[in-house]
Amino acid sequence: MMMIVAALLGGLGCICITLRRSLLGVLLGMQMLMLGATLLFVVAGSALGLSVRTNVLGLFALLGQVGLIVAGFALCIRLYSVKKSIAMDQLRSLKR
Amino acid sequence: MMEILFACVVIGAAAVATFIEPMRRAILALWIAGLALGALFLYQGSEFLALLQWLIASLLTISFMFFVVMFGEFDTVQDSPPGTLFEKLRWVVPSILGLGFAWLIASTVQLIPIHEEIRPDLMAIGQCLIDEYFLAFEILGLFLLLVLVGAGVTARPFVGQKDVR
Repeated sequence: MMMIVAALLGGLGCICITLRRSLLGVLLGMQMLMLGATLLFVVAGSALGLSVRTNVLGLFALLGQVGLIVAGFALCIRLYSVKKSIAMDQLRSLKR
Repeated sequence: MMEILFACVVIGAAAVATFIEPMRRAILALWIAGLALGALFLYQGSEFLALLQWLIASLLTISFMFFVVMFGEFDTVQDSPPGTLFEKLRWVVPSILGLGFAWLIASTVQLIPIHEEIRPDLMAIGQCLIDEYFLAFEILGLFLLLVLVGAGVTARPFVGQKDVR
């Protein structure tokens, strides 16, 4: 059942990425996708009897998620500085 | 019973975060989903990941809120005119994509055989990290350093632009 939850969380993340029209919304969806991936690691580890290893991989996924969000925030600042908006439609170039 | 309750909270909050329009409410919903997910980790026996998840979810929520208030929420996005084909398909295509993705994961993970559960403790995780995944851990540290430096470079002021004093 927990795997279904992880799958639904990933699916909702996908929907959020495609539905939202601002860069922050897309980052929100990516965070949801990574949360689903982490839950999948933990649940699969419990099922396989490899909890320790999958916990380590879950840790990597969580820290990777932090890196992704930080890079996304920097991209938001750059985009707003260039275009005065963070709409995804305008994300064509980061040059002036 | 509590596990099912927390699972429902995770899915409900994630659905709210996906479909609600105001970004501030979406972020609060995602925070609730993150906290409930930490509780699920706890029920799976991963206390370490649960604590880390609660911490990261709270910190990211604060950061998201800061950025949304700074320039995200009041940004005007040009919508397509109502009645166009794009506007009609706006909800359909992402929903099909998301449900297809969820079905793909759910059908794949059912193939995993069930073994006897072993509850990891913090010492075992640390030992595994040092013994087996030390190189990966180093690379992750390097990756986070690169992200930090890269974020600073990406968000730097333009040549000739006045920096904040």
